[in-house]
Amino acid sequence: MNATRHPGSAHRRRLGNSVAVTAVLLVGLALTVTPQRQGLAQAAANSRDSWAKACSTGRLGLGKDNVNLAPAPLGKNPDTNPDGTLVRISPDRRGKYVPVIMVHGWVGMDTHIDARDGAFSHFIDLTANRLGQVHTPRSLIGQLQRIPGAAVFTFDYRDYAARWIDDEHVGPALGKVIDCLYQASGEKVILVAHSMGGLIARYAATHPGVTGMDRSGEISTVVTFATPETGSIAAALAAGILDSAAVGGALVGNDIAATIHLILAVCGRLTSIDQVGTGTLCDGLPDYMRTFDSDAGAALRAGSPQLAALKPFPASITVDALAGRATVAIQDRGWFGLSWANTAVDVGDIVVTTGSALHGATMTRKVSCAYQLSVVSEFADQIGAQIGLRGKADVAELALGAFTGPCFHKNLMRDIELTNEATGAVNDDIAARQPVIANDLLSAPVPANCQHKAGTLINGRLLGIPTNAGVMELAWLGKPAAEQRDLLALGDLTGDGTGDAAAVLYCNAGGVSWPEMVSFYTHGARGPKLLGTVFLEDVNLPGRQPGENDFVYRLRYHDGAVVAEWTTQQEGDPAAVSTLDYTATLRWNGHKIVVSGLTGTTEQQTVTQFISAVARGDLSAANALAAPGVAAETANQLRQYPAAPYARTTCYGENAFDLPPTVGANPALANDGTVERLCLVPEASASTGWIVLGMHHTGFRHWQVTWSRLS
Amino acid sequence: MAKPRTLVLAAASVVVVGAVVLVGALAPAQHRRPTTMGVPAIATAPTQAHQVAQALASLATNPQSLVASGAAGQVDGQARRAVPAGSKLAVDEKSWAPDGLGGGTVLVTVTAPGEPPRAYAAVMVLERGQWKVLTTFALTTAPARAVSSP
Repeated sequence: MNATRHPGSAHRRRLGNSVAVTAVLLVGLALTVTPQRQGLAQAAANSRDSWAKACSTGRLGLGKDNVNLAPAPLGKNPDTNPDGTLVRISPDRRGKYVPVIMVHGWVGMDTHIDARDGAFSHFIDLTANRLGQVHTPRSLIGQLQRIPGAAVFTFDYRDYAARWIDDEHVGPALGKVIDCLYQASGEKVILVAHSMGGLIARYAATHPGVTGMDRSGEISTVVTFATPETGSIAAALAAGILDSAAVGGALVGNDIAATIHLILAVCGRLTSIDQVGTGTLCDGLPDYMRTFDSDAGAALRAGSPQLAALKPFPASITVDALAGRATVAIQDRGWFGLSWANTAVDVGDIVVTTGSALHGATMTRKVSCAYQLSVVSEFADQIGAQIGLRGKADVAELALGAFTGPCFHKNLMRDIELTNEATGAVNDDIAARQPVIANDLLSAPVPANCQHKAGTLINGRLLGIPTNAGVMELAWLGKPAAEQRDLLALGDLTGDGTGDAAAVLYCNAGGVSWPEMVSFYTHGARGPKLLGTVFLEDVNLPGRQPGENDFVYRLRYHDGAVVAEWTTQQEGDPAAVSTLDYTATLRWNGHKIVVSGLTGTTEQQTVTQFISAVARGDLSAANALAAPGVAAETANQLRQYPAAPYARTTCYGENAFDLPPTVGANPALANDGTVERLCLVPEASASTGWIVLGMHHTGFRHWQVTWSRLS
Repeated sequence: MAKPRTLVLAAASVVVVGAVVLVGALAPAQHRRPTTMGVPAIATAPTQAHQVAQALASLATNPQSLVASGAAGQVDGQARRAVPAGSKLAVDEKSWAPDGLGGGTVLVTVTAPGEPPRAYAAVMVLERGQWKVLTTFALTTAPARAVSSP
């Protein structure tokens, strides 16, 4: 019991709340657990390394496939944070790690070493912002390693990449890695994949794992860069097939085909396989094309039976699909003397169309680039091409083979926009696994109430409300730490094994306090997510009217639910005077908060016990319920009214209209100012004389008989 | 006696070599890696360039025969207007650039009667064994030097 929060008085409050005080208190609470967290971090690091051993190539029998925990920092040229410090791996708020598996694409590899030649290891240095430049001293892997709790693993299947995804060393091998890391960590894994790597992820996700008929129980999020979900246009062109309908109709399809043929021809002349890794548009493109006759290449063609046989991702897996969309305008396109309209052609990322890359995703993001391509003659009678930003004359055109664009297939993981999206997706996933803590609620969403619109708290308070229009805030703002804890309950309310929160919200519209609310919050991707709210004025025992105020005394987490204790008025009470104490259980049922077990306590129980004790001569029991001397005085009064103990006692509030006139008109009785309720014990039934007991609410569910007078 | 032994050895060698070839042919294709190594080209670049030049030789006389199926809708039967009768053609075989998709680009200069020469990058595709023109891109600058005739 907290005597400092007297119902009906201490709650008349609070415009002087101090956010700073709250912040200090919360920090103080956090600091008290720091040593424990350090221990958890060390334990987590050990476990992370042990997963890498348990799920290694040799242990899983993966042949030449390689599974590695991406190191941080690298020895040379390491990933660095914006402040120049080295990127290091750290556990999440729970002291745990979540496996994030990187899966490279076709004609790629997946390592994170000093050479930085892995698919996700190049520094992020491209942007589609026409005026912007990017020089991020981090790769996508480095970016992900900055997320607390992300343990990034690389899965490299380069030696089997010509095989289709159902080969034991490709899709099934990734499945083994997922099973192993899921079992070792106890956490659903996250996959980040490029190109065909996304199809491998889809294969693994849709085949049986350790949790069921598919791996939806082992995978939470898949981020794909340029995955040909419905096939690759380049692969189709390579086979002499162009499904025009798939790329916008025959005429459009022909324009795309012609543009891609031209780019590939120019790139093929400018580059060789020895130049792989130069980072230009032409980089690696000819390799792609010359290898489309492999099993994987054939299967990658739009409309291939292998693709058709691949099931869609299970619905419970979040798929964030990222794509490049390059539109290329080429002047003087036609058929010799016939000229076509100079419309820009959407070539996707050249290897995969935008539509194919975004097909079937939960969320999508594409990076768009508009280019002007000029076909020129070059030395030795060669056809060349120059490419530049479309409609931006002050940017010089570059030779195609020297051009680096963020929208092209192999460059997407160097683009700041897409890598930020991928980082956000992984961060959101891991953040959603974190328990809600008190500090999170300072920026929690709140429902509409007190004539204020729904919004999001900043430092615990809804901003934008005019000074004279009231307030909407966390009820604990400005309260002592002990009282803060009473207005918050932390525990798993949704049954997902992760901590949620219930918090008391306070508001008014510029006058007296409105009834308080209890809101339930779960862990969302970008902070606490509002599950639902109980408006306490709506919770009343049968026959009771809603009070003008409801003040929460305490919230307590118990067995997946919240036990709430609050106090409100009875009829006849002035506003802000609380005399009815409620207790109820609030439980989230998956759709709403359900209230059960509602009980109410008033002065009635105390006065009944008091009269009974006095009547039977048990002054000791009576004294425990009354101020000193009151029991003895009441005993004397009962001698004058011997029938009183057998009559029905009736209690009233200070403003009750139905007080007997002899009581209501007597200031010494009705407006005494020391008590909240008056209980009248009649001398007999149908009496006109009473023993008037002044009842004082000393605490939640606690009353005292303060005085006893005759009327 | 030596002759039959030689025949036996020769026969055995044929069987072994044949078996090796057969195993190679029947081996699962998935064991190939996605590299440029070992992927047979349809034809070498010079041979392709020559075939393309030969195909384009009929452009002035029968341009419709060179319209790729993908371009048919856009050309819409106007091939003769695109390459007027009496046009002179020059195809630069050395400019042939394979695209890795079985086609490529080649530099073609067309001089229509009474018109100045016009240079194009012609995108060539192979359809049922025949080289066709999918699209042309007019060069924004003239060729650096005169093209050779096919």
